[in-house]
This record gives sequence, C-alpha cells and structure tokens, in this order.
Amino acid sequence: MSLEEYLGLFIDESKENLQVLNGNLLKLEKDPDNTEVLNEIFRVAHTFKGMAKTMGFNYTSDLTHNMENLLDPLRSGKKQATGKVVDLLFSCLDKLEGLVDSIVDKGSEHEDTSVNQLVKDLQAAIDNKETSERDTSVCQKLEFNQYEQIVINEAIAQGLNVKEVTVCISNECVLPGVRSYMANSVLENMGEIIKYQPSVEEIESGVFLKTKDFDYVIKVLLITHEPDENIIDKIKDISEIAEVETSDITAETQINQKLKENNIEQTEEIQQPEENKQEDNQSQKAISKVVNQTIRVNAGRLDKLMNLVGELVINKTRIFELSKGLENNDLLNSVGFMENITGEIQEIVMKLRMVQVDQVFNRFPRLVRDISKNLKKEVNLVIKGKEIEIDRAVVDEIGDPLVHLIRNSLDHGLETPEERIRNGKSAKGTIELHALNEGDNILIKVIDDGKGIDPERIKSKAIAKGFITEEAARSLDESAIFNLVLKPGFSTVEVATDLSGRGVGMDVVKSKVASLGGTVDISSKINKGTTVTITLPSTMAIIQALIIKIGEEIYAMPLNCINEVIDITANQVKQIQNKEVITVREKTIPLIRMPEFLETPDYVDDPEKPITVVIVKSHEKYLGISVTELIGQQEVVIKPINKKLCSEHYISGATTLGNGEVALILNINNLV
Amino acid sequence: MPKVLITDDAAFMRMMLKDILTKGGYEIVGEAVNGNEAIEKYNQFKPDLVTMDITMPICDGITALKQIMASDPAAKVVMCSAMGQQAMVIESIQSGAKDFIVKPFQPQRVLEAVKKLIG
Repeated sequence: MSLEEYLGLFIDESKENLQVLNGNLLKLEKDPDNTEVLNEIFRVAHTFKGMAKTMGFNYTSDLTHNMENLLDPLRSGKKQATGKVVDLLFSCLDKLEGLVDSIVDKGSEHEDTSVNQLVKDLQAAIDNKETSERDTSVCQKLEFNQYEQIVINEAIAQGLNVKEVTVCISNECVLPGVRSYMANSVLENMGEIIKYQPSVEEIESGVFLKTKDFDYVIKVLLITHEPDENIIDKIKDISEIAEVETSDITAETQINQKLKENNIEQTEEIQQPEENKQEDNQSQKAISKVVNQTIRVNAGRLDKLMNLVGELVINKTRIFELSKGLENNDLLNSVGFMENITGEIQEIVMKLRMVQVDQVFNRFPRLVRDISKNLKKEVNLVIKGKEIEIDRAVVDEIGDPLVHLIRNSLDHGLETPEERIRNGKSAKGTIELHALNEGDNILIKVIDDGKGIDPERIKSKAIAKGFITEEAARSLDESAIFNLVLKPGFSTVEVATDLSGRGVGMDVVKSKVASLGGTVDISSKINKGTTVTITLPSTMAIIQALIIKIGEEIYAMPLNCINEVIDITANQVKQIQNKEVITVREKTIPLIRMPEFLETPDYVDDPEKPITVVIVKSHEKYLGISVTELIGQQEVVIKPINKKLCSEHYISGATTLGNGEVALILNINNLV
Repeated sequence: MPKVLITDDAAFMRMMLKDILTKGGYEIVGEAVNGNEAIEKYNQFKPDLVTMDITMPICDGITALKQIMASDPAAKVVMCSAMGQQAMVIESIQSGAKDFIVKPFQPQRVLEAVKKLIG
C-alpha cells in the first residue's frame, strides 16, 4: 500500500488533533498547572509526531518532536507553563496548521525554514529549564536525616571514613539502571552504604540525578576503609562509567531541617510521572471509547449517497404519479409504503450530512484571544448551542462570515476597559456566539455588549453616500436603518484598522449568507450592544419548491421565500421612474416580468389575460415576479450547476422533476 | 589470541559479533545457538570469554550463565540484552556475569567491554 492512500486519513486526523491542541492550549493559558490538559497536549503532539514520521513529513515530525520535549518537563511539573511557553506553543500550533494546509494543497510539506527557528526556540526553552533544573538537583550535597547523622558520627568516631561517592554514567548508556546496580555492588563490597540517592527503587524505574554533562548520576554515602583511589579505580572498571568523584563527610555536618524538607519534596516530585502515566492511560481509554462510536466516511461518498437518494425521490414521485392512473389498490399500497421508506432514508441521509456547528465555533476562542490581546480589550467569549447540527456544506461556508462578525464586534462593538468602566459597565466585555434551532431554520447570533450602533449616524452616512434620500431615511424604522449597514460599500468607521472597517465587510457577509439561502439581520441599542443574527436553512440539498412555468420553461422557486401568489390585471401595473410596480394592500412592490427578464423563447404577451404574480420576500424586501403558469408544490433535490455553464447569478441550481424534466431553481435572494 | 565463544540463537547476531570480535583481534572458538550448547562448548573449548544472549529457546542465557559459573567461578561472561531487559540483566550480574552489551551492537562498545575483561 502506498502512503498516499493514508493521506486523507492523515489530514482528517491532523485537523482534529489541531483543534484539540488549540482548545487545550487555551485551557492551559488559563490554568497552567492543569496536568490533565498538559497530558492531552502531550498526547496530541505525540500522535502527530508518529503520524507525520510515518508519512515522511519531516518538518512536522521534527516540530512535534521538539514540542514533546518541551511538554514533558511541563507535565511532570519540572517546569512551569509560563505565558512565554504557552505563546511559543501557540506559534508551534500555527506552524503546524500551515504545514498541514500545505499538505492538503500539495500532498507534501512546503519547504519551511522557519520551522527550524521554532525548533531552536523550543530547544532554548527546554535548555533554559534544564540548566536551572540541573543546578538545583545535583550541585547540592547529600542531606541526612537524624538517624543517618548519628551513624555518620559514630563511624567517624570509630576512625572509619565516610565518603560521598558520585558516579556519572555515560549518556550513551542504554541501561543505566544496570550500571548503577553494578556500581552499587562494587561499593557494597568496599564498605557499608548508608544512603542511596536516588533510592534503589527509583534507579530501577529510571530516575536519576542529572548534571550539566551527565544524564545518569547517582550518589551514595559509603562508610569504608578504602582509600579514594581504590574506590575510583574499581568503579571505573565497570563499562560505561564516565566519571567518579569522592568527597569526605565530616562529623560537623549538621542536620538541616530545611534541607530535609527539600528532600521530601523531591521524592514527591519523582513520584509524579507515574501518576501522570496512569492518567494518560485513562484518558487514552476514554478516547478509544469515543472513537468506537463513530466511523469516518469519505465526504465524497456521502455526497454520492445524497445524490442517489435524490434520484430515488425523483423516481418515487414518478412511480407515484404513474400508479395513480392505474387504480390498482395493491400497487397504490406498496407505492405508499415505498414513499414512507424513501422519506425515512432521505431524513437519515440528511442527518448524516449534518455536523455540529462546534466545527466552526471551536476556532473562535483562539481568534478572540489573539484579537483581544492585540486590541488590549478584555473579552469573555460565551459559546452556546455548539451541539446544534447544520449541513456540512453550510459549515464549510459560514466560517468566514462569522469571523468577520466577531472581528467587527471586537474591533467596533466592544469598548476599551477604561471606556467601559466610564460607561458603568464591567471592564470585561462579553461576546456571545449562540446557535439555535428555529423551525426549519438555524439561527446563529453574534451578540456583544459593546457600545451599539447609532442609527442617526448610519442614516446620515447612508444619505451622504447616496444610498437613500433624506426623505426616505425619515420613514425608515430602526431595523431597516441597521440593515443599511449590509449595503455594499457601507462602513461607518473612518479609519480602517488592521482587522475591519475597510468597507468591504458586512455586504460580503450578507451575500455569502444569501448564497447559502440565509439572511442577515442586525439589531442594536446604544451603549447596550449589537446583535447580528444569521438565519440559515437547516438543510440545503432538498427543499420544498413551487414549480412554475415561465413561457414554456419550467422553473422551481424555494417555497420559504414565497410570500403569496396573486392574480392581477394588466392595468394594475403602474410605472414609477420607468419601472413597473404593483400595489398590494397599499404596499408598492416592484414587478419583474419573468418571461422578458429570462428571455424565454416563443413567449407572446397577452394583455387581456390576468397576470399571475408570485410575491417573494427576501431581507424584508418584497418583489413581484410574473409567471406564466403555476404547476404545483414539490420537494426538489438541488443539484449544483457548473458555474461556467451558468453565468446568471439568479439561478442557484437545477433539479430533476418527477417526469424526468429538468427545472432550473431561481435564486430569489439575488433577484431581490 | 584470546578465545571467545559466541552464544545467540540468531545467525545474524552471531555473524555480527563474530565480525566485530575478529576485527578486534579475538579468536572465535565456537558458536552456540542456545544455552545448552553454550554450556557444552564452554566445557569443550574453555574460552577466555563468552558472549551470552539472554533470550534463547531450549535453555536461556541466564540459566546457562548460572551453570557455567557453577562449573567455573572464574568464567567471564558478557550478557547480550535488548533494551528493556533491565531486570534480567541485573539478575545476570547478580549471577556472576561480568558485563553486558545492548543490542543493536555498537562495535566500539562491544570491544570496549571485551577488552576490559580479557585485554
């Protein structure tokens, strides 16, 4: 099997791991001593390393390897996760994201020398700790408890020598435990050992003292007759012993209570790694449990299944229509049964396509952290409803608009801490990201408790930019005013910042959301805050549609944007500024004559015939669309059309009808 | 030339050790593929040094080491271990093995250990 076959899985899992890493780094920043979080971060780095190494992605594996090296002392508590360390880990995360992105794009890592710099930074951070750690753990002399002190004093009184022997085992040694066992055996033959450091048990489990040059160092306290040279020679006889030192202990050595306490602390520290291991195991078990409940499915296959179910629905409709003409009860029964089943299959397939909005939301804590740090604002991000499910196609698209909204809230909505306090608010602002179900729709709200939008300012700006006349502005209600912000080219901030305010913001959000079949709505109260609500259809692929005839061509219109259907006579159509309008219940509505607009062939206008007008609504605006004939309401499966074949932006897709004919689906949002 | 007996169940390992030791100026007087053979050949050749793999079929290295030490307390046995066999290596040392080398073998380390014992 070639490694390329694993590439998809590698990318999927890497992205998942990156998210886990991101989430945990944010947690770590708040709670630097949380070993559980550290263990999780370590685990992710470790998994990453293994995968990347297998795939031959050297930059990635190199980087994660060094991250691991830094994380290890962190999780064993030997080093503090300072702000600097967390920042460094965040930059590693960013770099990893970059590397994974390039793997997604090209199937391989791009040449990235900046990884080396990061690796150096990581190593510097590790060394920094190790020098300090070595200073404390080795250079100190052995300490003795009361009993040991008595033994030492007695031995000296008897004319014996008490020596502290330090044995440094070569760093290349693979089994330093055995070497120290051998050294201890040699020393035991030369006298009596009254203290081992680390203890024999610790040595067996791989715990050693360290010095600047040596990783495996042991110290013993030996009562002996032997001269120093003998001791040193005999120990040096053992292979892989790099250095031996002896020093005499005198009777004056005092019991130092403080040092004794230090000693206890040290042993506690040593026990910690084992506990961590246990936790590690537990968390790994928990993870494998979760994994068992889900399976990974190639998104392409899911799309194909969706398409097939679409075909099935179409053919079911066809069979249903045919069977009606045959008046065979058995046939009708089984067709009815089939209809139920296809309905259920459709529902399940729809659900399969649904993913939790968390997939989009989980990148925001980091975003908010970075931006608020940059802007020196204090923000509390509240995320609600992250378990709400939404179509996969929507999830991929909705991220960017949300990023924009959140940036806006941070940059323009929230005030600086000083300003907030002056206005009688808490210094820390709140941004709430809230997903909820409402009927067939999903609402995503971005709520801030900042300074709000001043409707008067928007009005004057809209007038200045020529979006509306002064007269029209007066008649606008508040929500209509706020929605002016969504117009292309509208921006109330005079100075464009790095983040937002370039005037290309909100209208892009609006058009993106509209292309997903959704709407954007803004409400705001001065000094209370702003709420932007995005309304999206929960499913995209199958919709209820009104099937209409325009000329001789059949079209489909999404039912959810149709307000009503009326018949009017030709003389009810009025002209305002050279544009046709109709008046419905005292409301003036622009009219589009679809046959002319779409230039349908063979269409002859009959002025005597009443005109059927479908009134559609999008973003609080109405539009009348004249159609030739209404055919009926039907569930249709949206199939995308190649953009190259369809330059007209008022067609959003195509669908196959029950009789096998193809109908184009009108994009109402863009017509309005 | 000092005489060495090599004990390992893997022909590959025996070949490697033989290469290293021959180049280092030692004579390989025999090769044993398990503990029983090692005991037999030790008594037959009376080598200056034995390299003894720990994990072997039929009779493992530690058992063989103990028997050799029982018959010749001055025997010089160097254990060959893999990483992670710390407890077994310690048991070997307790049973009289003079040193140990760890796989994968580094020629320099092997010769260093042998040289320390038999020059």
